[in-house]
Amino acid sequence: MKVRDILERLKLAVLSEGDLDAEVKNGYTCDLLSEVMGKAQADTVWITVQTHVNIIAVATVVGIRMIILCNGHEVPEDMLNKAKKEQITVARTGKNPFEISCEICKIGIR
Amino acid sequence: MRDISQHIMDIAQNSVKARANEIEILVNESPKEKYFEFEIRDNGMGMDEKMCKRVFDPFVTTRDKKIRHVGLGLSLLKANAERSGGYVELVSHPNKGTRVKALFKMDSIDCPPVGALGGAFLSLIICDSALHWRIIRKYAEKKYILDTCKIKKTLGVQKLSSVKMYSILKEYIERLESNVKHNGGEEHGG
Repeated sequence: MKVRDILERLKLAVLSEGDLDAEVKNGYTCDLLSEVMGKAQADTVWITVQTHVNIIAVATVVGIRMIILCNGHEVPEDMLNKAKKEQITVARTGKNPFEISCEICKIGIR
Repeated sequence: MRDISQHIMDIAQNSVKARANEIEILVNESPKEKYFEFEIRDNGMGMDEKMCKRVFDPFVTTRDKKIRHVGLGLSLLKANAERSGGYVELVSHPNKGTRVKALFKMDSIDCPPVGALGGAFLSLIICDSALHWRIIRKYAEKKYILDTCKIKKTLGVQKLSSVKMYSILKEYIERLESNVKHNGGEEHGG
């Protein structure tokens, strides 16, 4: 499934547009960056409440294509600038990580 | 990083990569005042003022950018310390060395656990036993000191990286950690 398909189907607000045609094969929900670095796979949509430039650095190391920020938190500008530069799509939702993970699962990403 | 001990290992490994041959780690845990601080000082290659200003940016690294273009150690440390209400300070001078100090407020719900400090000290000493490590561990009013030069002299050995030394040091550090937290501390070569 492409990044643009996830955005459309879940009706997410896009904060930073990366490669919308990038293929997403996996999902991972976690807020501990070391866990994400060690356990998440490439081509993943990452669900988190973390809003710090460090998450973009972790995403580039792992090969994460898209990040969904939950609970409607404010997002710092420097994080979005880095996301744009690294071609990682960042979206935001007011839902919590469990709710959005369930929705991701329902559209076929495991 | 799951806990503070992993941050200590990570920052100390930066000192090793900076070609330091003397590394001092001060760890101060105050259960009464509810803070945990550590300071790592080395005599490595250091950094200039320009690099010091950029070093907390996760997209800045002193290593080969063809291999990896991010450097997360210091930026993760800063984020975790600040999340607990603490801070990180860094002072560095080219060809003189670097000092990194971090403080965590332990009464914050977002403060990471301390983790296995003894294991972290042991790993650092064993992995780079040719270096002079001086570790000062304080807990409340008690403390112990691990000084690898003095340990080598006491044991009459040149290196600490053998299987036998690993077992001896593991037991020794575990005992020191246990004593400092429960019985009143023990000092080595201090």
